[in-house]
Amino acid sequence: MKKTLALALSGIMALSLTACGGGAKTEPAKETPKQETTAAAEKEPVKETAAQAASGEKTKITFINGFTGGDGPFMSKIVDGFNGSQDQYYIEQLQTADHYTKFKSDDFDMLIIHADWISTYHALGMLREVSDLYEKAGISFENDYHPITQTYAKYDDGIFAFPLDLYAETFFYNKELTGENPPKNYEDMIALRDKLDSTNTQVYPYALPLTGDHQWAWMTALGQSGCNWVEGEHIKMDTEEVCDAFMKVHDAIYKDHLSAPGLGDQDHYNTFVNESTDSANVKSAVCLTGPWKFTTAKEILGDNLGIGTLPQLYGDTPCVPAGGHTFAVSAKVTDQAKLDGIAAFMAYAYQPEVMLNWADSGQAPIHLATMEEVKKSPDKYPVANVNYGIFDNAMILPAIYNIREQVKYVNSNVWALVVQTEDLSRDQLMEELKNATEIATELSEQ
Amino acid sequence: MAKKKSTAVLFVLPFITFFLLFWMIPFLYGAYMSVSKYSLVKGNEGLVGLGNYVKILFSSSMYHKSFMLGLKNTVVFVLLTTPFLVLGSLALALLLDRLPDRIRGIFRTIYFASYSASVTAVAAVFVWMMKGNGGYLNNMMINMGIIKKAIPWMEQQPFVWVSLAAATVWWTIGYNMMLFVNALNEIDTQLYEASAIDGANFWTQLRYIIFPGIKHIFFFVLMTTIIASFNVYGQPRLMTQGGPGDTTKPLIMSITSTIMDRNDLGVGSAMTILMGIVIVLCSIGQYYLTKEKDELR
Repeated sequence: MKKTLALALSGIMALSLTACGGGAKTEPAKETPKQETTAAAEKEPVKETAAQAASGEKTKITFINGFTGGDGPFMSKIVDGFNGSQDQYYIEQLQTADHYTKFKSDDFDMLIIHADWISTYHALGMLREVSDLYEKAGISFENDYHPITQTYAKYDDGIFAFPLDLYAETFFYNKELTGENPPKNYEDMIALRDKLDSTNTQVYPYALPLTGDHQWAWMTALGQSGCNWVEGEHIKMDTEEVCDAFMKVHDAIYKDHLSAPGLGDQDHYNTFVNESTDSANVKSAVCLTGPWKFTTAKEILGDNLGIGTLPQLYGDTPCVPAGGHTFAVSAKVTDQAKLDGIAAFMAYAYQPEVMLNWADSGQAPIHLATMEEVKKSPDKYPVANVNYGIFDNAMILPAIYNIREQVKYVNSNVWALVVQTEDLSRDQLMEELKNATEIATELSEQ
Repeated sequence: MAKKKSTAVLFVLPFITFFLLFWMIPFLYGAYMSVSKYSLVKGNEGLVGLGNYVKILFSSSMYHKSFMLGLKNTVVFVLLTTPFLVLGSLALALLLDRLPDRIRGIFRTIYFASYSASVTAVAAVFVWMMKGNGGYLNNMMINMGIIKKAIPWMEQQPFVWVSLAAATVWWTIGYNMMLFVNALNEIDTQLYEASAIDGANFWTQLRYIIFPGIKHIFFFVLMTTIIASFNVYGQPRLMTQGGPGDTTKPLIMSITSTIMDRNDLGVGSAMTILMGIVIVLCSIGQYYLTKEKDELR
């Protein structure tokens, strides 16, 4: 009897190890108290301002964003500026890396949301339609922003975001290796490979890593090849044209040796800024990555760093993968005073002299009046100015439900197969592309 | 008598409170969610009976594929790490046991020190060491002429499993070793002396004195190591993000993804319960395999 009891208890003990894990996951869903933001604020570094401290009578608007890096202080500057200018409203800001999770589980009035998340949050009914706030703020969605914003912030039932910026895949090159004229297409890359004698020197034209901006890498291949990879509400990868585009990436590594094989996480950038003279380490002459890498690359390469628009590597269709940040308002906000406060904030933030703070962070604001100001100072805002040159060709993930989940299988399994399998066959690739399409279809129907 | 009873209740009360708050209620709530259509965003949308379990176990849905792949990867990890974590830690403990007293403490501290590091630090160090291009290990081996071409320790299978197992063993082996050290200390030294006089060598002592003396601790270490390995998350999350492909994505990462990325608390909770059942079954199987026949009777 005792043994049976001991057995049962040991079983419960083992079960508890995982059951507790499951239980912990439940907490965010059940905890949605009205004052949760205050509790969260105690745990996280909230940027408190003098205006907040003296906020006795003011209407509080809670604002969450994920700017925990170098751009965080610049957003705080805008928020602080607004709070300092106000005697009616104040914004309580929380900057945290898991801001999406917190937004789902807690009550925040306003958030920063990536352009490719809007479609999903919109479909889930988590965002408020904001046409009335545009009107109150005196901003025109159609006339005050670059037209690309229409592809991700506007839906059949209205406008759901205030576009903040756009960041596009940026082309960096090392002048010491490429010369003053960087490669502009695939043929130029082959010429550069020959000049660098890549297979012997281990210095390659560019680098295709297992992970690290790899979603942009395959989006570049598909976009420049002119593929249509969306069908209805899901991505459709199991087509000959998509297979061809992925095979071009494979050929760049294993047939034309434009990139070293077997590269790992972030090696597209690591090999670019690699200062090691050890011949065991691969180097690359150009790098296709996000504009946020500019500062560190400049520190390492100095005047040898060149910056430009993306070369046409995989086809003739101009296409540059991009993403963007936007302000959005929670669907839970019904308090008119809060809504008025949010409109007042937007009116304040979208003044060029205020929005320039965001350009100072290295981002490229997408507000037209601010863009004009940024263009006047190309030396001060080099990355933003290069990014402005490609906004017309920018490709953001399609605005369909669950898109970030839909592309995950491509990012992990399809991409790994393409960059790691030397003797990859089209049949092998097509099988994985079918799996990716099946999963995406299922996700779109959730 | 009444005072004695109330004192006893006071002593038990903190345990009961914490047991209910942090074990029983979350467990029951998790079980309830596992039979519900429960979204992280929309909340509870009603009971679905065993629908979530059927979806995970018997359908051709993405949840089935995700669960089975996670389970397979977790089992591979358990099989790769458990022998080293149990037998390796026993070997280290035996080595320590034979060191002179004055240096034993130093080595015990050295071997145990890695356990005090956080998984984040361990992962960062191992990624730096094992990275295919520019990693410390590859550079060293190439410069020494041991290999000509970099080995993709962090990029391609089966090398990635080796890296994950090495990091895990290095990180946690010290804890098991300490348990074995304590168990070895409990063995009467006269037994060693008597057996030595009778001509017993190390292996004979291991079989007839050491192993019977530490048997219970050995099985305890084995069971807790398997359970801990089943719960692996930090190392693959930080070192490989579950890749290449999804080949090192363990079950807990699949569950986290189901809940946090796909917002499905119902299916995620059902996966958690199923994972618990798998561990319980493993523990029961192990119990029967390791207990002697007369004990079972």
